[in-house]
Amino acid sequence: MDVFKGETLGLVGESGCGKSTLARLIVRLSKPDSGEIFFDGVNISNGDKNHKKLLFSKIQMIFQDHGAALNPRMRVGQILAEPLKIHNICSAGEIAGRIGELIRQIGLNSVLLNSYPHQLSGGQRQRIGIARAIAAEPQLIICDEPVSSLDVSMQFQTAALLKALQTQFNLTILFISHNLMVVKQISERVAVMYLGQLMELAGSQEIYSRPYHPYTKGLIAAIPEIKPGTDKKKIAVLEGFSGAIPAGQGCSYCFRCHKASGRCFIERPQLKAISAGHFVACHHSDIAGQGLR
Amino acid sequence: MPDLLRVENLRVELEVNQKKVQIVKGISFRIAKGEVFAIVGESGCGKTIATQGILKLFPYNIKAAVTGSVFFDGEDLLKKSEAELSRIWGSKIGIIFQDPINSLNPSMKIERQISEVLDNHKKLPAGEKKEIILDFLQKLGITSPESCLKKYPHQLSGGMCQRIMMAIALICGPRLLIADEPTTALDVTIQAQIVQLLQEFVENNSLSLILISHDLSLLANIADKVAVMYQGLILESGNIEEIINNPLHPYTKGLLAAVPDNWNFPSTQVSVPVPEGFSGTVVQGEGCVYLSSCPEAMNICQVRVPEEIALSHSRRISCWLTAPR
Repeated sequence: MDVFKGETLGLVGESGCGKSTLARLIVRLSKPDSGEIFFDGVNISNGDKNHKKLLFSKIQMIFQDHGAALNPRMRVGQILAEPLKIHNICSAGEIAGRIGELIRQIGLNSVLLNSYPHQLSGGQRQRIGIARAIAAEPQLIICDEPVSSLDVSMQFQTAALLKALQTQFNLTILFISHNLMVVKQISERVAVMYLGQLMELAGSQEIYSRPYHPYTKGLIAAIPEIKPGTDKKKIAVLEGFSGAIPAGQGCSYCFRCHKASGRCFIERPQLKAISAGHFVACHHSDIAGQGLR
Repeated sequence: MPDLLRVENLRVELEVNQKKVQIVKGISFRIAKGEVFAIVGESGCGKTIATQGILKLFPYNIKAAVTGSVFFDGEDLLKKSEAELSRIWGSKIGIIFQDPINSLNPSMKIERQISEVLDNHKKLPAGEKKEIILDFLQKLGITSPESCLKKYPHQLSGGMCQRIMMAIALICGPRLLIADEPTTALDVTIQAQIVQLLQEFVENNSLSLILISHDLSLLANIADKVAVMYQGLILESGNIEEIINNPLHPYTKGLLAAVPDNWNFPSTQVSVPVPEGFSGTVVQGEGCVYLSSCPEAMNICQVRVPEEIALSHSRRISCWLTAPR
């Protein structure tokens, strides 16, 4: 799959589907068995040490667990100074000024620069994580469940902050989450993953209004909605459990899929376009997709 | 319909670092038989402590003083001794927690954890007991209950552990279930399954449910009534439709605007819109607890706490904006 410059690509799926592993592969916290990752035209998956430092300043990551992501023995000011020093963003004399600027950009008071992470609230810590990421002046930010551990009110503030910073610095964001509503609101395009495979990829509007893959449909139907009507709606339930992995070469969703037919159990479907910019990995898309490609 | 649970002026004071802190500052509500009552609020607002206060069931290392009254089935739970309460916990009132994996005993097999509660409240012959447990697990959508009983919690997924928690809480046929963020740690698909199960139990067994959550969109689909809690007080309560379609308290409005459904990013904003102190700032003195974060605060809000007034049979609110002055 591609992530386009300046966009927010949402990546959704249940726990254990490999979302975080994908993120870790991009920042080289893990190594791929095979395949290649290109960043700005450069292959970054071949282990070439020359690219390493340059790329690591251009790709930054924000983690889900804001408590564990910040060194408990460093003050906020030190935490924010680290990327500035490592990537030679500014001279030693300018660091203090730059840190002050950073903390203003994320909407916190500079008094907090002297605090330790445990003295901050969850929302504040997550914003420090964001400030640390943008300190390196990256082009791509990978957000791995950045709002999952926050309260609803803090979720909005954190997402709004990310969006504002994105416009300001022309950032590209890969936004990983299992919360489909959050992803819908923040992303231009959405990719749906299931057991290590991409199931569907389309524009945000398109995928939520016209989901094609049975799994995507199930996921979207399971979102609780805030419009209580006179009839008490049942949240649609996706049958089966997510752990069953087919032994052979079949579609990874075949055991849970109500549409699964013989071919689904023996042959893995490839990602194909069913309309402009809408890709689906499902054998049943062949019929639907005819004439559209 | 008669009330199953009536909570009046419940206050809970905890001892934190040798200092007494009032976490729940006098809340009142009533729950009818077969009703789903939701408590919504951010972390730290006291919703969990409030339910622990109702049960007088606190972690062993917490010193708590509970005042007020909690009438369950006509009897005041707060006047009961621990021995009397332990006959009610698990048999007449069940509870499930947010973190299902850590709420189960890691060193005990599932079978023993479920049979423990049956042994405590119902004397049953071993064969019959096993049958009841297997039946119950099937009802909870566990496909192979036999093998599940032989497992340890770490061998099960989060969704499965939550079903086991539900089995422990519901197997004695309680009349009230307290579910504290039962789906927060779960995926959206598993969440839907657990919510469906809860709804089935409410409908089939006329179970009353106290559902605690910070997620209004989840509550909208399952609750009958909702109480919005902030810093130990209920700021607004009423039927879920009324609250969602016509929120009156500024805090309720803020919570609703924060639901991802309703997100509205400022489109051309370059500087960052982060209002400070949405939560956490404790107001000292006489004013309204929501004062420091309230966009509509007036002079009177700084000097006097708004009293709770009833707008209709079901709707109550504590806010000077709606109060007659």
